[in-house]
Amino acid sequence: MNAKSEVSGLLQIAGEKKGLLIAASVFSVVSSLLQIAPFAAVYVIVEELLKHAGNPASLDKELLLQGGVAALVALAAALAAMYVSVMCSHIAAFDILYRLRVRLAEHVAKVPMGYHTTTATGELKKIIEVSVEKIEKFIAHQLPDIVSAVAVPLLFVGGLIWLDWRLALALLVPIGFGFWLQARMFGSEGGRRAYREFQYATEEMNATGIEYVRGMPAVKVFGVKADDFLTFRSAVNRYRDLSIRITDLYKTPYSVFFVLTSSLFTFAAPVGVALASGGADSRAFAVTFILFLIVTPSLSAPLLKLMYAGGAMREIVEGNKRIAAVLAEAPVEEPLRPLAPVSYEISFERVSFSYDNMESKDYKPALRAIDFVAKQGETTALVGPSGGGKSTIANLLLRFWDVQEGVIKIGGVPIRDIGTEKLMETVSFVFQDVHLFYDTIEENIRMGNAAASRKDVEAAAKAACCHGFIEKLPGGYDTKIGEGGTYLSGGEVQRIAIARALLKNAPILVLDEATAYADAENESNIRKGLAELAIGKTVLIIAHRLSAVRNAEQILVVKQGEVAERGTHEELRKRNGLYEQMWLAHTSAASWRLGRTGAPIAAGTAAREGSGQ
Amino acid sequence: MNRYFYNISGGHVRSLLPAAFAALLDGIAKVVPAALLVDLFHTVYRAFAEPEAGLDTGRLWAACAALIAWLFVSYAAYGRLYDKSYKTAYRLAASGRLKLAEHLRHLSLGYFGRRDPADTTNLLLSDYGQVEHTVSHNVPQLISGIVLPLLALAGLAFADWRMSLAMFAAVPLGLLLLWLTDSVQARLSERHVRAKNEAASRLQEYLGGIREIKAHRMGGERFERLRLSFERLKRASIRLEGRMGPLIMGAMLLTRSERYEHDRGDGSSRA
Repeated sequence: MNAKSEVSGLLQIAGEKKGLLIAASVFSVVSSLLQIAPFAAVYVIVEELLKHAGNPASLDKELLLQGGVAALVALAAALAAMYVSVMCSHIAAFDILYRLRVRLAEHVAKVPMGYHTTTATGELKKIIEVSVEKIEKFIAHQLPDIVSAVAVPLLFVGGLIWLDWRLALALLVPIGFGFWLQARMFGSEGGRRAYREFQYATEEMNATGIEYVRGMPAVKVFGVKADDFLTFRSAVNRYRDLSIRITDLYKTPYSVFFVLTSSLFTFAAPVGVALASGGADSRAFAVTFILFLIVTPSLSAPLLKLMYAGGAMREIVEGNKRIAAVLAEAPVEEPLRPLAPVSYEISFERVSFSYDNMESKDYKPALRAIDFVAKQGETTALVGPSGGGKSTIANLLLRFWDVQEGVIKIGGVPIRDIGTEKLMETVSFVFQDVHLFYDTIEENIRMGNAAASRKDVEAAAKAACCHGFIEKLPGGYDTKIGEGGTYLSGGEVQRIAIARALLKNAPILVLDEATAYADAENESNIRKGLAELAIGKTVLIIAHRLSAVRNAEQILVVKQGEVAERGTHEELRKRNGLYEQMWLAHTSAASWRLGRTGAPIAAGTAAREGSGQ
Repeated sequence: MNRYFYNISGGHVRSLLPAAFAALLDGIAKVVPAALLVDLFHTVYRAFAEPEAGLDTGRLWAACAALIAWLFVSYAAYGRLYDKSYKTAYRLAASGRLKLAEHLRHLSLGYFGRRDPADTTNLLLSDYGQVEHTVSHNVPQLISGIVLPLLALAGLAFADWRMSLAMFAAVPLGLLLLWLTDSVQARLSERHVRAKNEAASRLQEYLGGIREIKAHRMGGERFERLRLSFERLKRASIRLEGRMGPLIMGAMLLTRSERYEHDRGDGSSRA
């Protein structure tokens, strides 16, 4: 994307608040004009002074006072207009930021999960916070500023040309030269390269800084030697060195521009003197000349502003590009006319899937031609070595990703035609790593069903065996979790997730069984909760312990992306295949754990199996 | 004031000296063209006050020549200021960042548990960006802003002490208002900072729990807490801008400073 389309992108964002921004620009110009207005009073005063230079006593004091008062009033009015302008542009800007943030937040919840696994949370957070914030600067300050910074010098110079074109020309030459020098600098290959490098160094410093802070708890707990620190240090140093180099690079054009624009009267003076000594010693010319000398310093402010605006614009282009990239990420496709399933049998029909793009050189299928039916009201268990594809199957059912080949159906309706809204209503699940939000326990459970009453929440908590420990918390159900609030154990968090799913009471339940339980009591409580949850539902369970799924109506052994074996526990044991091996490993691990004889190797297998995927 | 310099330099007040000195020189360099300008006015005025003497073109040409020659001095002074202030700013920010990062390593685990990581990251990255901006922009301005009026006051006092006093009569009042503005801003922006940190935490929570949010269809607008925190941030930002405006304008009217544009930019980066 080039700078031009970037600017038009920004203008498009700004266009959402056109009225306010036009008002801001108009008031900004009015304010700038009012700030020039005192010069008219100065003109009158200078003329009066010169007229009576020979005899100061004959000065019209009334006129001078009026001029002074007018100048003061104009200044006050200029400030008032500026305030109106600033408020209009800020209200517009902050509202646009707000909308943009909500839009981004909404959008990232609609894109496939795959996007979130490949994009770091910190990256997204920075875009929504920092990149969006920078747009404020553009909309609230630059836009009205640019309008007035262009309008005012033009009007100013127009007025000066009208007064005396020769003096005006003496001002235009250095201004033109200053801009030319600037353009040459920033437009040159060296200037652009330095700027790109600077952008890169800034990003690198930010990324390593975030990494450094985020990794700190781990460094503390595990006592790892902080390599992150060295990485961060070198990024900070590189950023500093590059900034210093750029300072050197810009020093001359920048200083020349600054000195030229702030010394404009130096150029008008000799021309004026030449004209005056050329015989034009009339009072009118003298007044004009003095006015020029007084007025020109006021020209430098808008000119400098114009220069800063260019720099600030470059600064936000990068952020704008990132925002656009997030918004361009395609959301999960929704059907035009969603169909609702009437029965709840799950079928996978020759489903193949890869986390990589087909064209990618790292392409590796995660699932190959998966074919199975999970009957309504029955439990189907997925077992197998970690990394075999069990969790992938569950993720696909929720449309966190879309399959590349084959079709997944619920009650005979392809899930793509159900629409995520309805699909999420139909399926509830308990993930292995449950995320609780910084909110009360009650609200965390209520996530399952926003319409649930406190009573419903408590009933679900009781069924999930978490009512007991919740009651013991300082605030009961109103206890805040995390962020300075209470922290819960892994088992407790798991039970809250079960309560959440119970409250949702969807006809299909996907369960990623926890790999490890803190203690036996926790485990039995969780099992009780899960049993309650599963009654009458179509259950798809990812099991890490075979004992948990012995009674399942169907067990699928998933290995290397394929269903290696299928059947009930008894059938599978008789086949004497992979399942039987796993079962033996599992039972001997259990007995080994109890202190009886058993193969340590088998325990290792169980541990691997238990580590999930 | 000392404290201010101490804080922004991260305890290395001395490292600000070269930039401060350059700002002082630049400020002094600006006095000469102003004096020459006054001389031009005076010469022209004299031609009208004493018509028999006529226009002293020799003196006018001399002033013009001096003005042009002074361009080079201005350039040298400004170039030096630019160089010193920016480089000092970058060096200070870099060493400050590293010092803070080093310090973080020695804090207890409890600190990281209590504090939002986004807060700490902000401190390390954008808050030091603010130091960069302050040292490169505000320190030179502050110094020349104090020194120049004092020089002008002294210079004008030679011409007419009553006029010079009249010219500066409004300054103490303006300063008082500026001081008030500052303390009010500190109080107002406290609220704004809170809103900002709250929004950052909600965003972190939202992105961290995106899988649950997708699963429970709580995305975007439905995740009320995040939306509310964004809305509160919006309101706090507008309120801060709205309340600060009249105070800054009032101070400007009194000091008739043309620095508002700068304050405006500064306020926004703080916002």
